[in-house]
Amino acid sequence: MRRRWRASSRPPHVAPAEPGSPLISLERIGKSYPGTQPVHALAGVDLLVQPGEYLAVTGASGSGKSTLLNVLGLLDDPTGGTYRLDGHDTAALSEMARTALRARSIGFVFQDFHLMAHRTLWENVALGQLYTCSSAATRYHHARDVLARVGLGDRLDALPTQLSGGERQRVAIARAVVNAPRLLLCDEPTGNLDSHTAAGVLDLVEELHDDGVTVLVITHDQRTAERAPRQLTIHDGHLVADTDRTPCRSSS
Amino acid sequence: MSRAWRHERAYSPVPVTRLSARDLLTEAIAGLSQRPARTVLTMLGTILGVGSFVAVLGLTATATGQVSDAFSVQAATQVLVHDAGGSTSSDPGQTVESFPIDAETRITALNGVKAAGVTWPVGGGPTTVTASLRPGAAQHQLAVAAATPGYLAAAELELSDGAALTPYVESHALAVAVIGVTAARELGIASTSGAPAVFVDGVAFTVVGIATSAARDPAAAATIYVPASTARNAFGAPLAYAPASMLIWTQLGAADQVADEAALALRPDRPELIAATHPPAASPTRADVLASLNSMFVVLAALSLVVGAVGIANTTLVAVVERTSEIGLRRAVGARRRHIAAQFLTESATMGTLGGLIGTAVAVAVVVTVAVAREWTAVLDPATTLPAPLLGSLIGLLAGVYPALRAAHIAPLDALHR
Repeated sequence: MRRRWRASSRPPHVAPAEPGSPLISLERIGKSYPGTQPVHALAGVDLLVQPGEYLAVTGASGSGKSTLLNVLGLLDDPTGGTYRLDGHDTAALSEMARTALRARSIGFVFQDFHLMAHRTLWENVALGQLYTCSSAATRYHHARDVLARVGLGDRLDALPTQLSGGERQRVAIARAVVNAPRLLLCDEPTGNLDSHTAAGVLDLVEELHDDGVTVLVITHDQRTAERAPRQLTIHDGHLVADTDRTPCRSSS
Repeated sequence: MSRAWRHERAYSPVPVTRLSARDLLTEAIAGLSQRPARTVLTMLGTILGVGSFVAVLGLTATATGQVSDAFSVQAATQVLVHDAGGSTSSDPGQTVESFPIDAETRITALNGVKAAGVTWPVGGGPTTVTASLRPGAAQHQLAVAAATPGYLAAAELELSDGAALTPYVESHALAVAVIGVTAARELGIASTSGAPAVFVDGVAFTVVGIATSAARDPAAAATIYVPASTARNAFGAPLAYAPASMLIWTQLGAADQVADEAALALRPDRPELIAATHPPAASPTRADVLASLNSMFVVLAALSLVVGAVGIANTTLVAVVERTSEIGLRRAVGARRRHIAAQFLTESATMGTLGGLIGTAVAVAVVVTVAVAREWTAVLDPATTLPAPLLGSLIGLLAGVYPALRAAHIAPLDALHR
C-alpha cells in the first residue's frame, strides 16, 4: 500500500555524466588536518556506490565517519584522492558548480534537524528548493506533496516548535527529498529520538530507498546500521569492513 | 579575472543555483519578522535620524517663510527720510526745516508710494501734558508728535475710537489731537465722546481719536499726535537736535527706488539736506541665526543617523551569529556566498528603508502639526522630503555590508556542526 515516492514523476535534476557509472566513486580519498601532530581523518578510502543502494556507515566517535559524510556531501574538500559524484570529478568543479551539484543531487538529514524555528513546516520544506526552483507556487506544491508523504500533510502551517522530535525529523527528511535528489545523506538521523520513534523514521528512509533514492546513513547505533543491506565500518580513517547482504552482490 | 569567471561558469555540469529578487525580499522580511520587537527597536535610530533631518529642514523652511511674512513685508515697504539740515548747525536749539511745505504731495507723486507724511517731536522730546487747566491738575510727561495726515496713513495707525487727523484739520490748523491708548489711560480719557481736551504746554487740543497701535510707528500707543500746521503755529518749527522726518509707505519692491528718488523730489535745489534710509535687505542677523540653528540640528540628525547605522549593523551581526546554523543549512541546499550576503544586506536595507519611511512620515506630521498650531503655512521642500526614505535605505545598506560579508564567509560545515 505504499504510495510511489515520485508521484509527480519529477526526474532527478542531475543526469549522470556517463550512463551506468557508479553514483559515488572514491579513489584513495584522504583528509588531513595539518598541525604539529597532523590528524588523518580519512586515509586512502576507496568506495563504489551504485545508484539505489542503501548503506550504513558505523564507527566510533572520531573514526572519520562524519568527515566521510562531509566529503561525500561536498561540504568539505578531501586533501587527497579523487571523488566522482555521478561521474563528475568534484575536484575539477568551481565552488559555484559544486554548490549547484550539492543542491540538485544531494539531500541532507541531520541529527538535530536544523529546522528554522520561526518558519512554518511548508516554508522549512520549501527551503530545500529555494535556490533551484524560482517558482514560489511550485515550491509550495512540492512542499505540500512531500509533507503529505511523510504524514504531516495536515500541518503545513504549524511551526517546528509544535512538533515532536520524530515529527521534526520527518520534516527534515521531507526538506531533504523535496528536490528529488539522487543521494540522501543522513547524519545520525535517529540520534535524538527514542527507539520507537527512530524505527518510524527509519521506516520512512526505507520507503525512500524502495522508491529508488540512494541512501547513506552515518550512525553509531548498531540497530540503525543493521537495517541497511550494506554496512561499512570505519576506524581511524580506514574502511575496515564492508558487508553487503544485498542479493546477487558479493562483499568487497 | 573575468575570463576565469566565465570559464568557471561554463564548466558547471548542472544549472547553477539562483535566488530571484522576489524570493530574496521574501526571505529578508521573514528573517526580520522573526524578532519583530528587536527589528522595531533597531529601526528607532534610523527613524530618529531621518525624522529629525526632515523635521529640521521642514521646520526651518516653515519658520523662515513665516518670519519673512511677518517682518520683511513691513521693512521692505518702508522708507524713512531724515532732515539732515540740522546736523551741520552749531546751535542745537535752532529750528531746522528742510522739508518743503508740499513734501507730502511731492513724495506721493512718486511711483509706488502708497502714503507719506512728516512728523517731528513737539518741543524736541517729552512734553508736559495735563488733562485739565485747573491748578493742581496732574502733569504728565508724554511724547507729543506733530504729524501730517499722510504720516498717520503711512504708519497705518489703528484707531479704537474717533477719527484720524484729516487734510481739512491740517489745512485749517485746528487744535485737535489723536492720542495713543496708553497716553489716554494715563490722562484718564476713556473715549472721544464729550470731546475731552488735553493741554499741551497749556495749549488746548480736542481729542478726536484714540489710537491703539501703528504698523510703522512702535511708539504710537504712548504718543499724542497733533496736526503739523497747528504744532508749527503753537510751538514753532522742529529743533535741530530733534529734526523732522518723513515716513513713506511704498508698494512691495518699490522702496529702494523711492529711497533713491526721495531727496531730489523733496529738495531738487539742495538734495544733501535730505537723507533717505533704504529698507533693510533680508535681515542678515535672522538668516544667520536660522542658518546656525539649521546646521546644528542637521549635525544632530547626522549623529542620529550614525547611531542608527551602528544599531542596524549590531543587530544584523547578532542575527548572523544567531542564525549561523540556518546559514549552513542554506549553503547545504544551494545558497552561494552571494545569496547569503544578499539576504543579510536586504534585511539591513529593509530595516533602513522602513525606518526612513516612518521617520519621514513622522517628521511631515510634526511639521504640519507645528504649522497648524502656530497658524503658519507648512513648507516642505520635495527635493529633501521625497528622497529622505532613501537616506534610510543607504544607511541600512552601508550598515549591512560588514555583517553580510561575515555571513557569506561562514563555511557551511562549521555552521552545520554548531
